[in-house]
Amino acid sequence: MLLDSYQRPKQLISMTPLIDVVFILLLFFMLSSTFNRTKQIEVSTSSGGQPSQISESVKLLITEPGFVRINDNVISVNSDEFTKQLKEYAASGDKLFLAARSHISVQEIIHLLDSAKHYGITNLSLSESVQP
Amino acid sequence: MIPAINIVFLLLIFFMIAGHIEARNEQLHIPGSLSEQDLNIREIEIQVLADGNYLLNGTALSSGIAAALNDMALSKESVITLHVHRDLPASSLDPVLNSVRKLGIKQLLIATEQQP
Repeated sequence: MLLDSYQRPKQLISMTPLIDVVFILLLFFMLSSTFNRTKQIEVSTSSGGQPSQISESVKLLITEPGFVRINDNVISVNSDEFTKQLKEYAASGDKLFLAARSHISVQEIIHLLDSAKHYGITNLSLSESVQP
Repeated sequence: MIPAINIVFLLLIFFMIAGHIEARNEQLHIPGSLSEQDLNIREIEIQVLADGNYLLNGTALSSGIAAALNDMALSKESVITLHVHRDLPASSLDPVLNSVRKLGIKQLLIATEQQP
């Protein structure tokens, strides 16, 4: 019959819808994957000029990577003692002044800010670096 | 015609999404932290690059950072965001801290990325 001769060789998958679907899948995964979003850390910049009467002010100095000087004691930031100190400061609401020696990297400072925030210290300010 | 329009639309959306991904700068790897707060406000953005150059809202500073901030006539409630290269020494933050304090701004936001 004439109708039978009209049969085209059947394509398994046509190209255009395939591209459409692939693109939509691509967009879906781009949106659903979480990109490395930028986070923030808040620090106060106020100087230690006026110590308030209510709360004490404590000075923390990063002397070496991983080591902090508090009240003339140099302790490791990974030690239990340091954790205990931070918890105490968080509980008492003391104002913390964080400074670093000038050669300490920014990442090190952020690391300490991080742990301070982690233990609930909100009263924290960042001071200028100290020459060794 | 219709498939062509479909694909053109998809390409459009693709580039709209891709455009949101910030171009990564080799000179600026911001430090990692465990902070959960998303950085949204970018009123004033200071960048400190690995080579020690300071950028204010994307333009390099010829004069000092204090002078440049002064020219902007900021209020005390202005929010300053600081993007700083992670391996820079602490002393590179001093000019920023100093000038921000002089303006009477009490808060500084340091941009960090989520630690893997």
